[in-house]
Amino acid sequence: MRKSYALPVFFALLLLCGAVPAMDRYGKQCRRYAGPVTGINDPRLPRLLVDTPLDVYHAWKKLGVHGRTILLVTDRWKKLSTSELFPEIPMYRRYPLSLYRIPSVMEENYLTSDNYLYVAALNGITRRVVALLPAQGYAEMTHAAHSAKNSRIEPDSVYLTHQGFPRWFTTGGYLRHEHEPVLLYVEAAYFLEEEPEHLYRMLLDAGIRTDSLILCRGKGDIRITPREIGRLERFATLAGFAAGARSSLDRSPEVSRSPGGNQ
Amino acid sequence: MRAHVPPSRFFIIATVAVSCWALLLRCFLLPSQPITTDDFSVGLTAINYMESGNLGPVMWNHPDLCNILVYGTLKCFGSGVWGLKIWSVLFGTLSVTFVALLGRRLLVNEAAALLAATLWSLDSLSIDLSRQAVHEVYQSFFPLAAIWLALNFRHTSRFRWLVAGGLLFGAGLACKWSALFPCVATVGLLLLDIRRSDDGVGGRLTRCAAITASLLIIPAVVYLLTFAPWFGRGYSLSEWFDLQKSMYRETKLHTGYTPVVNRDHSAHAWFIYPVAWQDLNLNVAETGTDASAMTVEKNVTVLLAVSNPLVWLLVLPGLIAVIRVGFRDRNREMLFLAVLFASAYLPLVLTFSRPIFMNTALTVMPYGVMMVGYLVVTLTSATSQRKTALFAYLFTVLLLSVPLYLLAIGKGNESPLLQRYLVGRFVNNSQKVLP
Repeated sequence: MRKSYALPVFFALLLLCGAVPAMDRYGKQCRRYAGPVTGINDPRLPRLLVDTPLDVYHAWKKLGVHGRTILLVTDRWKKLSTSELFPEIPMYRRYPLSLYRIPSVMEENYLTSDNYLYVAALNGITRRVVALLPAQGYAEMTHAAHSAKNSRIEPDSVYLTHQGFPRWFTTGGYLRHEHEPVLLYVEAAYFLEEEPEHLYRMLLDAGIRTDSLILCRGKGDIRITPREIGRLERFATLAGFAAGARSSLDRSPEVSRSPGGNQ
Repeated sequence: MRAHVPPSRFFIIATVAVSCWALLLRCFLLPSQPITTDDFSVGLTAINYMESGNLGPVMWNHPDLCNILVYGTLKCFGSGVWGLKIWSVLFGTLSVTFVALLGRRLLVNEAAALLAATLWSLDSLSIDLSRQAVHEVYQSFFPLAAIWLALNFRHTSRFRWLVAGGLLFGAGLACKWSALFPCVATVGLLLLDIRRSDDGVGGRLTRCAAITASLLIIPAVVYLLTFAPWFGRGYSLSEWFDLQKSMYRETKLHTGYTPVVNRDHSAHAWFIYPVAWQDLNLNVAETGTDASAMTVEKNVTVLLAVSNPLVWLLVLPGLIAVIRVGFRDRNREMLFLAVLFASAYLPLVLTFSRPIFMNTALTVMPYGVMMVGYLVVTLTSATSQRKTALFAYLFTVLLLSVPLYLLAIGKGNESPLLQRYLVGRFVNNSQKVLP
């Protein structure tokens, strides 16, 4: 090969072979874990029982997790309207513009029990959500997927994106494909239609691995009755929560960059 | 392939002069031009992408080089007009320069190339979007510059031109995917040259490998690297491919954020009758202005780019002329110009899944004005009063460009005649945007 032509080929191949694995590695290295990754029945797993989704958001912040998959166990997916996605652009606009960081402004001024997952995505806590829903909640998402621009309906799951942000919905079948350690979060609302023993068995069977388990009582949600709270507590007992314990998250979190954690 | 002839001194001076003229038109009264919601959103999107790796809020489905560049200038110059718009002004101006340079290469006619650059410097759409922060006008510049660099390789066989072309094609792709079409057309031209070369099989293969590596692999790597902030959110390569699919789906089905009714949205119409691209915006002079006190005259700005019929309606005759001469003289450069035009335009004409708005013509019209330049110079040179005819055409274009310029920079409301036109055509939409 002539030297003058060999150089661009060599340069391009070097770039390709360097850049592709480097970007993949860089992305994966940016994920931060709360600690050791274990099964949900492992006593070392940090556990927390909270009242509202806002408490969950703050717990994730405190844990220092980043770039993670959240496994959300709930009854329905809350859809946000376009106007809720970022602060309205002001009609008074003069140079120099008062620009701002959308994630920080949303967290400080607009964080609610409805948009906490969206704000968690904006702030880098999560890069992907897997929602485990009862049959009816799942049927609603399947219906929504039919009219969505970018969706995929598979036998055991529905895939929908929001501005490129990936979201999976399932009644449980998809969980066996989930090999990545997740931030496991269970809302009491899930037990409006399901039993805790069934959920616990499903998570164990799927081999779900996690570094944080948070349960939420859903305070303020008028649909939640003592029956659902009772079921949530049954699930807490199954998952190894000590009676009356707030959590092992009350101690300062130790952040790890690898799923092996800081064992 | 034609022998490379250095440009005349007149051509160099005239190209610099036209570029300065283009810069003046793109900067005139720019700091006082009302700031659109898109301008503001571009600043937010750049910060959102670079500091958090998030896509959006504006145009999340397009690649992100614009965010990287705008973020850099926001850091250097602050959030004033230059921090936000310097790249648009710069690329809008340089696209005029490269219309002249590339036009000269492809048409082998300095007068036609200069006329094309002048027409592009006056073009309402190019002016309008060179004065806005959105990255539309980047798409005129990057492919033109990349093709010019790749053609330098064709004449000199020096690989540094090829690599530089590949880097710029990559930058173009990292702004919008439409850069792929001229990139593939350029690879095709260079590979065709190999077929005709006297090199042995080994020589041809190595040249082929160098072209493919430089113009396909390097752009792909540049494109990938611009996603680094997004990877910083924890994503892997397989998730990146899923993102590309999402972006593709949105781009394929995008209908815009305002109603399509009453807007020009068919690419096939661009060269048949005059079309327009409009941006309607609400601005108030001070914070806390009562919404009920707002009026169309005071608070609505219309930035309106209308195609100049004396230029746009000559594109198809220009295409026919270029193809005719290309085949007659076996002129590969002329035919390449026609292929560049077709490769940029036909995918838009053949898109039925979504409306194609006139702003997309920024990827097509640089080749269009080259063909118009060639057509006009050829036709006028056939007359006895060659220079007079050429200047008469140019003068008429210039005259018509005056009101179009005022509309493009948002001054339409200040002329009673233009205001009547604006109100007549857009008042209903304007009233709808009032709160």
